[in-house]
Amino acid sequence: MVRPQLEQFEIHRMVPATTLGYDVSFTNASLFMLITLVGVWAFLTLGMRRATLVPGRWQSAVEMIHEFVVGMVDENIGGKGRPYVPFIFALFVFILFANILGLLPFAFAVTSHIWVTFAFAAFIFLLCVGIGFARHGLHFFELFVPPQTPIVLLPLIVLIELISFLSRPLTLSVRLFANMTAGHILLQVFAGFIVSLGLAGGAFWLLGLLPMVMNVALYALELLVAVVQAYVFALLTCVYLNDSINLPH
Amino acid sequence: MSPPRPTDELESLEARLAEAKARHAPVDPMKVATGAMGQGFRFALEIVVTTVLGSAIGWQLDKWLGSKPWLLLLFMLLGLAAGFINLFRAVGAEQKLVDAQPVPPSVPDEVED
Repeated sequence: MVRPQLEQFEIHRMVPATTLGYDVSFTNASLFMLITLVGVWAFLTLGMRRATLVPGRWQSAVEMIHEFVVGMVDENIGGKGRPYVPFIFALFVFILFANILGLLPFAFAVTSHIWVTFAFAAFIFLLCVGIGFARHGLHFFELFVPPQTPIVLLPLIVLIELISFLSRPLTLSVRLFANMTAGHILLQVFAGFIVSLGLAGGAFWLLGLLPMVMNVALYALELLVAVVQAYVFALLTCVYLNDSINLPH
Repeated sequence: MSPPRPTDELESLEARLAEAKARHAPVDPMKVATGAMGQGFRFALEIVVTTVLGSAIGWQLDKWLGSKPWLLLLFMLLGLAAGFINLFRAVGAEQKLVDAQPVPPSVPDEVED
């Protein structure tokens, strides 16, 4: 039996399907990823449909997000990072929309599943390794040798750097997943308090106002978390790409 | 690669806007605090994850090499060290930023044209 607080994270098969022994059913998670994509598409294309030099509100919202991403890439990677702007932009906007859509009532929070966030992080990790070797060849291994390392400490430092490098996809995915999951559970727990106090009868329903107020505040906090976590995810992707592109040692 | 804003007129407008913003909105302490908290959580998580990852690597190596429990212990410590080195580096970078900034942050007080 699933605890009621975790019910919102359950995945249901909507269109069961298997290919080569793998379960590739269309689930509610797939549905909400699709909705996220449609939302992003609508936001971007409808916003830019009648593009003018002096933008309207919607167009400037789109442009602000784009400029924000360009600024982030320029600051963290530099000029060589410009080709990766579309990638970072897509990543940022998708995660942002998925996070915010997940906060709507009856919605499913795609980013509260570790496999979704880990798929992103693992792809970014492989991309970083690929770009690093493509650009620097075997010099990419210099990433694991910080400058001015005493020879005696070298084996130890290389192992430490290796562990630190390998932990990147884990920290990247766990951060987003944990923030979203914790927030959603918290909202549900406080919502449960409201219901049980309301049903308790007598003057208890007055007490029920307390978790209600708390939930409103939490919801505001979760909106902030949704944006901040999308930003952090994109920012760290920039930082990791920078290591692969510029080899900072 | 060309910058996103092409004309001189818009360029100078942008500069004046930035200047005006800097004059009217000094550093917001709340913003600094939330940023610092986010960074703190980031490195806390990093220490946990690197330690767990190091332990996992050591455990697996122990299984393969039959050297229980020494590699587990070694790699757990290495993982912990990796997490803390990341933290120290971040603190060092932050310190450099703080040192580079004149104290208090100078604000140009010339009249806007």
